[in-house]
Amino acid sequence: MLELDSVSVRYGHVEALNAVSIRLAEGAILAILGANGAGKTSLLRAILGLNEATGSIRFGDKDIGELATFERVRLGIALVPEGRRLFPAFTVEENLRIATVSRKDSSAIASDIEEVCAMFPVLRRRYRQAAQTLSGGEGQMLAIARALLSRPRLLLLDEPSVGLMPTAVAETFRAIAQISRRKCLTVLVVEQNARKALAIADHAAVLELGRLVLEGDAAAVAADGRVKEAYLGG
Amino acid sequence: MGIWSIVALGLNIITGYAGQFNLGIGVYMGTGAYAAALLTTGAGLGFWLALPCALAAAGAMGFVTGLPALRVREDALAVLTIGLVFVFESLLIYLPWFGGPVGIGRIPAAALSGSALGKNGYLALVLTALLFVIALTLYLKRAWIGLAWAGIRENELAADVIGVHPARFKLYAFTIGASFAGLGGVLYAHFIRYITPYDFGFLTSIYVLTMIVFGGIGTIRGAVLGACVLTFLPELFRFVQDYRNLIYGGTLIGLMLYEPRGLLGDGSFVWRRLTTRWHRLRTAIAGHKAAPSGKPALAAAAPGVQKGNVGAPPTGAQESLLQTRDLSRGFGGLLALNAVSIEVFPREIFGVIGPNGAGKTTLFNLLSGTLPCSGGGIRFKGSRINGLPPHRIAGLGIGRTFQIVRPFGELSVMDNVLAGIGSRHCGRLVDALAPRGRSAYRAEARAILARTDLGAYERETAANLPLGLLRRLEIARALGLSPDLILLDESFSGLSHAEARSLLDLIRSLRAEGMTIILIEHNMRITMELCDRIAVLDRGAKIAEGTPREIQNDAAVIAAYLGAEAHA
Amino acid sequence: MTLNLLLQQLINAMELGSIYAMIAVGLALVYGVLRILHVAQAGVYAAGAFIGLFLYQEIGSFPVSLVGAMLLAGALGMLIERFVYRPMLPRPRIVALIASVGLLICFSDIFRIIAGPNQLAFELPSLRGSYEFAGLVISRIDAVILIGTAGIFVLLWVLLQKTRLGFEIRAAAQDLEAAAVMGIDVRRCVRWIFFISSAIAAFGGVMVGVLYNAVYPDMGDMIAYKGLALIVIGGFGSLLGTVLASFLLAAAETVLTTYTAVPLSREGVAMLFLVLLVLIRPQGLLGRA
Repeated sequence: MLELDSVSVRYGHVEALNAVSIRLAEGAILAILGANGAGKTSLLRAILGLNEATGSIRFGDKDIGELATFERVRLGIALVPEGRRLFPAFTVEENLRIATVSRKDSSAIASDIEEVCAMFPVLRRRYRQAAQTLSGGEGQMLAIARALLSRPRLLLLDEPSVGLMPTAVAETFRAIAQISRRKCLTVLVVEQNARKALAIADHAAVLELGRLVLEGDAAAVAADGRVKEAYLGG
Repeated sequence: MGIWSIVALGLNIITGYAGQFNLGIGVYMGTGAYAAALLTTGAGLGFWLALPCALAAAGAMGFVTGLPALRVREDALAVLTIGLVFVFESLLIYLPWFGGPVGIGRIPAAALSGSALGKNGYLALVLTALLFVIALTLYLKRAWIGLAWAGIRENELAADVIGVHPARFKLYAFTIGASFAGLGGVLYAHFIRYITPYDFGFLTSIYVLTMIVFGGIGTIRGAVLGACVLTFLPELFRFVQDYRNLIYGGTLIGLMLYEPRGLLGDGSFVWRRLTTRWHRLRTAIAGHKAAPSGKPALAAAAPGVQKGNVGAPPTGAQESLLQTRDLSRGFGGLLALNAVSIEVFPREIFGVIGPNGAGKTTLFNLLSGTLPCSGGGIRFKGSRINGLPPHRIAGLGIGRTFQIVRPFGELSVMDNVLAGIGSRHCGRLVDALAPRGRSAYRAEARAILARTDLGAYERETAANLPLGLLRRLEIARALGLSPDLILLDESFSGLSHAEARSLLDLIRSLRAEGMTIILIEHNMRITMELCDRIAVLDRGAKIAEGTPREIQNDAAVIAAYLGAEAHA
Repeated sequence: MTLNLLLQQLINAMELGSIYAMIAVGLALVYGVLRILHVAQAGVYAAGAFIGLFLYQEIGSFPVSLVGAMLLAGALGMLIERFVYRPMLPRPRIVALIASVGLLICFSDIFRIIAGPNQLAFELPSLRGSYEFAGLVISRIDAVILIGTAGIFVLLWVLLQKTRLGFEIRAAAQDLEAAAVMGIDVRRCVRWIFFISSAIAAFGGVMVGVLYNAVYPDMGDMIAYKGLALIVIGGFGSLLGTVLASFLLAAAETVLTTYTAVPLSREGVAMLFLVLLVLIRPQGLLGRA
């Protein structure tokens, strides 16, 4: 479904991502772990075309390297950005609707909104409130719902656990796993909270200083000594 | 031409060096010109007497206009300075003392010992003044004040945190730059001998800005080149006179599109070619010299990492070094930090951990003065420090690093470290004007670079370094302050195994020398190994505090952060 | 001061405020999305006046000339975005500001070269004369300006609040990148924004040309800097604040220059306002801190 081949990203003289190659099969959940500054966010941004990346990126069978961000999104990639990036002045409703503006099938939009509200009841409760008044956890729900509303085939999540209470984190990851199963969605989660991410993932990879240093089944990666030491509290 | 160069150099100081965008340089030039004109025509003072007075007036104007400029950020600053020019021009036109729109005429020529200076004499005068200004600018650039300015320009927050008083240095820039421009104004007035308010308006200011942008912003050569070229061209091509504005405008646009650093700016195409040729020429002439980078100071110079006592936590019954009491920070309904009280003892390595968003960096921001607190207090070495600005706190002995590195990108590694050292010694203006080539300071900087294993990179431009080295550079810079307490924000993040080990050793050696360290970390193993005591934050509140062992076994911490699997 | 006189001044102030608002709103739109101070907007404003005059002289119908000027100016704005600003987006914003100033200077000179340095007359016989209204005299021109700008603002409001494009623009103004991530074609939004603000500016230019019966190369200059002052005073990016600031400024100018002996030109008043406001409230009237 998603194929990265030797993707590199430089900011000025700093190499944020160094010849990273990843393959992600349809319907699978891939967790990417790494410390701050390891290149995780750069990876997601490269997939969406938000930075200057070299190397090839294929989605489905298409090479999307030349496409603009919005075109890639319309092909079926959705992002839940780090820190949510909700539109603060918009209400919950508006934040949901803005995700549907480029959809052609207006009839299905209403039922989709119903569906995400059923999945995340808190959205219904705060429907007309401005997004900036939501708590961290609620905002996260909104961000995920928003991403789902574009009916993506690939869902990217950038550090969904940041700033959330443990219960909210648990809820978030539960929702991700559920959504992935139900909709046969391919998911790529980038996380610092290794434990939670590994628990729901099928595969995992570790980024360090822009390079991919470990890759494999989630269970295998979780059991790896180095990973345990560095990311799981030893 | 010379006159315009002088004015351009003035703008260079304000905008090029200190990074404060000023689109109203005409104000200062005009102040100088009008002051001199009024003094010589109205009050009958001689040229040489009027000159210093006019300079003082221009400088004062720079100071006064600098004050509001302190409060605004980039875009607003540009607009503000535009506004100032128009107000100034208006005042000149409407207030009767200034001669109204007709201006002041019949300004006497400058005279030297009785007889008026002829054309050649005046030229000599202007050239002398120009050389003087160039020399002064060069000197300032090399002095501490130049470094402070560069720091503010590169990253104001980082400069603040290592003790550079941003407001004060910005005002210095304004005042000095304005004086230069005023000098240009005085010379202009006595050259043309007839000035009107329209001579110093917005268009003039833009011409000067074009000059330094054209030549290369932030460089002396750029300012001079720009001034010369842009005043010379119209003279050369008479027909161009008609299209002058068009060419000015087009030049600006073209430059911004293709070479925003200016023709001779650092890094521009032309300048790089020139400098590489120059280097080749030099090495060819001088024969082969060893590459002049600092000695790789690696294992040799690293001061003894004492294995003996480093792991020992301080013995009890000590006065705490740092103490927070019910520290809070919040806005709206959101409490980033909620009544956090911690106590850190001298020579302790104190860890702060917690999930992302728990408030750890906010805590550091409050401790270093970068953010004000909404409640509670902080005591350092016995006195209250909450509410103090960052440069004061730095002066008291607290240094910090940032989670997202903030190096002074365009400066060399050596300069980055010198900045920290400099602020310790050069708070007052007098000291700030001292040259920084002083060997004592450089030696100190070298020592710090050696300890942080950066000796090999002494001359490297900071922006070229990879993340791992940048983290060490931040620590080195903070060390320049000779702090008693150092706050490390995720310094281990992004380091390789080997780098992490050497950083570990460095921290231990710092403690052995008497420093206290508070660090924020996500890497559990390192935290547990390194710290004497740890505080755990979650959602803004402290949920646990104790030794690593205690923390690892604390149920609440495990639930929130470490995860369900218990560790031995 | 008779009531009549006062009301007359009120109308003048409102008219002035409307013109300012036209320009300033365009600037605010551009700034809100791109964070660029589009000084060259004033060049487009003047271009609108020139184009309008030229079209009127050729075609003879004012409404057609007006619309034509707006459309052409809109196209001009889009060209500026495409070839001058877009390449500069990754650079520090001062670069765009300097380029914009350069552009403005170029515009003035181009007008001077093409149409000569003198004022051109923009006579509209159909708009001469006035209406009597409860003892109050409103010239036709004033009425057209007031109604026209009101109409434009209403249209703008409808566009922003009720259309899909407006929705996208409002999202882009809050977070350009997040909007792209939502699948919004932000390049298209930006193009439209430039078209709209340029067209509005042209409207202002034509109207001012007719009002003062003068079209000349430098007519954009003061407007440019006042416009900047207005978006700062109004609060960067806040459209409502900008409109408010425009009217306040117009009122201040009218009052101060007619009734007091302040030693400032009208421009000086604007700038003084700016300086004072920045000192007291750096985030502007309705800006977010």
